[in-house]
Amino acid sequence: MRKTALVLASALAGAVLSVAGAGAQERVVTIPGFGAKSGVLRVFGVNSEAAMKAAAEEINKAGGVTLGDGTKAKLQIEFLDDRCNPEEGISVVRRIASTNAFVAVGPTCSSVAESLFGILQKKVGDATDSGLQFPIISDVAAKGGLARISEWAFRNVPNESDMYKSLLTWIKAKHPELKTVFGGVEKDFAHSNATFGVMKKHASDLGYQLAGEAEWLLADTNFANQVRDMRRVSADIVAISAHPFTTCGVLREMARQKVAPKLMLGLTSSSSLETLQGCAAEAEGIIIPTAFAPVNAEAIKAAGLVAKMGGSADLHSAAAYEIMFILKDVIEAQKVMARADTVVEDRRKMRAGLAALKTTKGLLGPVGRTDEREAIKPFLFVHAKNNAWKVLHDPRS
Amino acid sequence: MQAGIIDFLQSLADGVLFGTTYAIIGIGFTLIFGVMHKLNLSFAAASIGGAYLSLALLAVWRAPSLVLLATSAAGGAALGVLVFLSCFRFIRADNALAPLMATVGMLLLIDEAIAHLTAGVPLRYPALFPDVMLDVGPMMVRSDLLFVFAIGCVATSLLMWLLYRTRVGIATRAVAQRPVAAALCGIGIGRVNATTFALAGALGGVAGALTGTAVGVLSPLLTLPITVKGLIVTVIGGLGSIPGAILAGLLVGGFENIIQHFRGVSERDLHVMLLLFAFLVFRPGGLFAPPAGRD
Amino acid sequence: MLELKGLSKHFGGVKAVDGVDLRVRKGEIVGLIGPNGSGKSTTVNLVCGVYPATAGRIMFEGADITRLAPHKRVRGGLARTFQNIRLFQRLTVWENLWVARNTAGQGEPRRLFGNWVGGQRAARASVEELLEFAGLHSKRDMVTGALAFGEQRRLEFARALAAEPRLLLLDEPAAGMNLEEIGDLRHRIVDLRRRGLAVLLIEHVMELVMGVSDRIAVLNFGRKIAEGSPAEIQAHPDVQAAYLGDAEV
Repeated sequence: MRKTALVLASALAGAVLSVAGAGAQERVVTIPGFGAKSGVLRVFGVNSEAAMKAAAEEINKAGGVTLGDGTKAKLQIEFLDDRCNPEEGISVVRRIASTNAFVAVGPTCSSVAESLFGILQKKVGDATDSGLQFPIISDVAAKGGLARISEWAFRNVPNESDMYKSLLTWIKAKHPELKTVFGGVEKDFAHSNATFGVMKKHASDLGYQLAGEAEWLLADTNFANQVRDMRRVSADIVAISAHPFTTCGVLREMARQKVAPKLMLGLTSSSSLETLQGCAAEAEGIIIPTAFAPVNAEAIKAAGLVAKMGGSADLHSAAAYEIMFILKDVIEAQKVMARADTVVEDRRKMRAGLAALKTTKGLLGPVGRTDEREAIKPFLFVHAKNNAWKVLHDPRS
Repeated sequence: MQAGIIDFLQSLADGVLFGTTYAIIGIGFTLIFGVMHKLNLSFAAASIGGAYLSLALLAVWRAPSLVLLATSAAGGAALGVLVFLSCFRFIRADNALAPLMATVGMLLLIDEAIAHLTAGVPLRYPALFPDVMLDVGPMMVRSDLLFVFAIGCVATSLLMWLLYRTRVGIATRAVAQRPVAAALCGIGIGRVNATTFALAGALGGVAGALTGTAVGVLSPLLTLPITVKGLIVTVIGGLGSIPGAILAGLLVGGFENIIQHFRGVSERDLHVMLLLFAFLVFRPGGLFAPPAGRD
Repeated sequence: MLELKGLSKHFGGVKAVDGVDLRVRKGEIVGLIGPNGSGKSTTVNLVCGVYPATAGRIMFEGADITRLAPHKRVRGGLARTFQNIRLFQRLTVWENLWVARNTAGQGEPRRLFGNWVGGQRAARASVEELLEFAGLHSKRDMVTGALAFGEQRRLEFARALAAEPRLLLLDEPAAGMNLEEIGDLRHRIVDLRRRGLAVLLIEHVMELVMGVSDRIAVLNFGRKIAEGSPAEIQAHPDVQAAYLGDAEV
């Protein structure tokens, strides 16, 4: 009797264990993201996190990601706040690097990216370089050429130089009668300042006359002086390289002083809900190049999913969405193991995998990759019409 | 750019009119300083907070301008009392640094709360007054700023009336001069101070709404610059002097716009700081240093 | 009316007031004397609530006010004048009285609006009365800081009365006064008794204290060393010893 009981018990135990074993095949891999989640730029962090979570949910619904040993894992997002502050960004990434994570998505701000990429190991395999060996892929930080800083740095951001060159070329062709440009810039923000340089360069290359310039600061509220100069010059085109807060301030002052240029151009980041919420009427007609607009089924679906997660899809958060799928592909192609004892190797694999990519899937179409670890993203021109961003022109057509 | 006389006058006019918002914030700072002899650094944040609360009202009801101003004032007053209770009421009076630090904490708290609740997205603030450009000779003057100026004057006059003609106001001034003697005249200092904070907060709420309407949007970006401006105005005007704050507000508003006109944005804030520095060196009491005298 | 039981105040190691028992009955004028540093002013501050007592109890009209906030004690019928005048220097004469008058009767439940206007009128009337009492009617709109010293003293006195107290603590009211003014002060204090107030008078000017008090208590080093009628105190050997080298008659 006792012997039978023992045999039954061990059989039962064995059955239970094997079931448990099978359940243990359900793994979770954490992909950390980081960016501005507090302060005035909080909306960027909110959107990026929502986009990453939306994409993760899509991936998980389709079965998750297949790891190197054949097991399937669900993706989980953890988003950390760097407050758009370089020191904080570095500290956050160091913290991430001390966990088992093998890749991170971020940051929001170009100033953070610049400092952060600087502490990464510059060249892979360089034993004399004690920099951090951790791959980072940026969704938002858009200042030109940052990924060049380190071989561990990658970006999925549009090339603003190409976008504005294309935009201005198209405008020149479509409106040859417009000759003069007046530029306004938010001087104390890395992104807007850099893009202004880009705008000016391409405009003058194309033969536009730069009739005047106005400057203001990120938190300014009074633009009477600047718009007065604008009015005096009366240029055909007004180009504003600034974020929604001051862009709206300037546009409102222009309406007040009855300055109505024939064409208005804006900064990529301002092709967002914020601008419409702040000054839809005054922004009517402003043209902005963007790497995202809900113009095809996939983009529309993504926009909906991101909204469900509490964010809104724009060119920045769409990049984060795309990145999740890129990461899934790389994890699978490189056979990342995602175990505590394979961390260093996984990070190298991710880096190698990202570097090896020649093209990735984007919501607007295939995205090319450069040798300098940047993205060649397709883009469109949108304009503000009736309280919404509508596609004005697709330069690929 | 050639600086014609008209341009100069225009810049001056624009700056002075915008300076009314600085003046009102300055009055709030100076009022609290006069009573508590401490700075409430969260004042500007609470003012903007009051304006945000009026926006919350707007979400459910398209209220007329006066109601929005009143709501903003009420919000500012409520936040003022909250700051008083958390930073001043229960901290011993002889600990000079603790309330100041506590108000810094409240400033950050209110700032983050706003950024958190609105995701930092700028929210459109309705035009409380008709916003047209009036042609005054060769110059253009913003009509809404004239209203801001007018409302500012009205609010200030109301405050002066309260302070000099009502029991509450006289009690407030008594407490400001000699707190212990006031208590020994039967005045409940706690209640009077709470009322002062509420009054200053209400004024601040009005200032917040006026700033919102002048700028066109409310954003957490506004709180720190306005705090700094308010402090500069308070110091230049003289800590504790209301006429000083008014004059200094207009002075700083005009000055910074003139500097921007001649030297551009990058140097603007630098020169405002230099102005403050000059006052601190040559006239540290400010424009109207109130006479000293307390227990 | 006022009873101090074993009242003590220690500042660190210093016993400024050490176990003092004192009683002031209704309609009495009690003098409190003692050499400099004997704890007289501290005792007054304790009674008013400016300092919290270290030990002992303060009873006023039967209620224990030891832990009561100062402004509540005033509203309950206590008032004091200060040795160094503590008027609101930048308020007008009228405002100084007004602000004190408005706390009268606030021990009672708040009157509703119906009575408020009437209450206001009554309050204004009593401020006028007080102005007359202080002889400052013609200077009612003057800023207090501009008054002469004697006038400020009279205003301080009047302000203490504005709260309609039932016990008045006078802290060295005769300091700096000439003989004529002291005589005038003496009449006013006696007049208070006639009105039914009790008075606790702290003074150095012996002529005034001896002439006006019903009873006198003597403090030295924070302790009460004697109590009795003016005649008894004048003859008391301990009192004479305490004042040796400190005579101010």
